[in-house]
Amino acid sequence: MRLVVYLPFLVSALLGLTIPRFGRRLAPATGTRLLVASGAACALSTAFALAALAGTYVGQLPAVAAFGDWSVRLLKANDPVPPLVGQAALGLLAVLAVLAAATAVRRGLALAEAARACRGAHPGAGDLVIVRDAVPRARAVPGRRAGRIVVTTGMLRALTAEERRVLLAHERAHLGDRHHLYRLAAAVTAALNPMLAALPRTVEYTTERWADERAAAHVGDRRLAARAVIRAALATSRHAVGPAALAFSDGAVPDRITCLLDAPPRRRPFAVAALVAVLTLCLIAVNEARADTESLFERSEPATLTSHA
Amino acid sequence: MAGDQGHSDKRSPGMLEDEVLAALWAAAGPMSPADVQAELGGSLAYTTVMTTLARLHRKGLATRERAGRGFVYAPAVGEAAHTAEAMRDLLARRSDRAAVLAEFVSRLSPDDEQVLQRLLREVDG
Repeated sequence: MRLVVYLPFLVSALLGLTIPRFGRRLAPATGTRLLVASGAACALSTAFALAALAGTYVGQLPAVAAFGDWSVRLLKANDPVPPLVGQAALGLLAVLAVLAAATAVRRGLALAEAARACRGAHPGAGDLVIVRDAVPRARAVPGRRAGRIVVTTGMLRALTAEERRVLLAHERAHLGDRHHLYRLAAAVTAALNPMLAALPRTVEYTTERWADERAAAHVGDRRLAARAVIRAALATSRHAVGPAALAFSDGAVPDRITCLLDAPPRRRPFAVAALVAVLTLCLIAVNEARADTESLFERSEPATLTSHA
Repeated sequence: MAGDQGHSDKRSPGMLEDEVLAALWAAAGPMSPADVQAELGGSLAYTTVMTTLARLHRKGLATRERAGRGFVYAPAVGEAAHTAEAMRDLLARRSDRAAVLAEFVSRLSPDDEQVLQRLLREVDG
C-alpha cells in the first residue's frame, strides 16, 4: 500500500476548508452540482481508502484468510500498513458508515413524513397550501409526484402581489430542481466524511441562491426579487422576539440580497476547474489504492510464488 | 433555467390560481375581479382573472357573493383542524420534518436587520 491511499484525506481536508468559499464564488446551480459531486467523490474515496487500509488487517485474520488463497504470513510480511492503522481504519469506517446510513434514513423519513402531512392538505390551486397563521413563514415540501408550497397568511400579507410572485417562483424552483436531493446528498456526505462538515450548510446556501436566481429570472427583475427577500426576512424577524430571536446569524440573507442587487453570477472557470481536479484526484487515488490492494494480495499467494520459482 | 428568461408574463393556469388565491388571502376583505386585476398588475386580462376566480370558486377554495352586478370573492376557510396543526408544525422549526425543508428566509441578527432596513430604503428609492 503506497502513500497514494492517503491522498483522499488530503484532498478532503483541502476541500473541507474551501467549501464555503466555493459556495459563494460559483454560480449557484453550478456550485451546488459541483460541490455535491466533488464532496461525494471525496467521501466515497476516503471510505474506500479506509476499506483498503482495513482490508489488509482483516486479511490477516485467520478466520478470513481461510476463505482466501493468500497466506497470512506472506501478507503480514508484504503489508506496509501497521496493524494499529488497519484496526483504526476498520473501526472508523464502521462508525462513519453507521452515521451516514442513519443520516440518510432519518432525513429520508423526515421528507416522507413532510410529504405525507401535505397530502392531507387541500389539493387546491396549483401547488399552494395556505396556512392561517400570523407568523410569516414559507417552505417548499417536495412530494413524490408534485411538491407543495406551504405559506402562512402572515407571509402573504407581508408582501405585495409582485413580491408574492417572487416567493412562489422561489419555492417552485426548490421543487422543480429537486434541491432537497442535493441537501440530502450533502448531509450524508458530511456524515461519511466529517472533514466535509461545512458542506450541508453551504449547499443550503447555494440552493437558496439558485432559487433566488430562478425567481429573479422568472419575474425579470433582480431588484424586485431582492425586495421580496428583504421584506420577508424583516417580517419574519419581527415575529421572532424573545428567546427565539438569535443574537447572531450565518449572514445568509444579507449575502443573498447583495447577490441579487449585483449583476447575474458570472462563469468561474478556475473555480470549476479546481473542483473538477478534486473529483479527478479522488478517482485516481481510488483506482491506485484498488490496484495496490489487489497486487498486495496477489503477491501473498503462495501458489504464485512457487509457479514463478 | 434559461426557459424562464424572457417569459416573465407567461404563467400556467396553476401558477395563476396560486397568485390569485394568495391575493385573496392577503386582502383585508372580499375582492371583485377588478380589485384582483389591479392588485396583480396590469399585465393580466380581466377575463383571465375572472376565469381564474371562477375556477377557485368551483374548487371550493374561494367563496363568492353577489355585489351589484357581479361577484366579490373571499378565500374559503374550511381546513380541518388537524391538517392546519400538521401544517403549522411543518412550518415551525420544531421537528425533524421541518429541518429538512427549504425555508424562504433564515433568521436575522440585529446587525442583519439594520443592513436590511438600509437595503430596503435603497431598493425602494
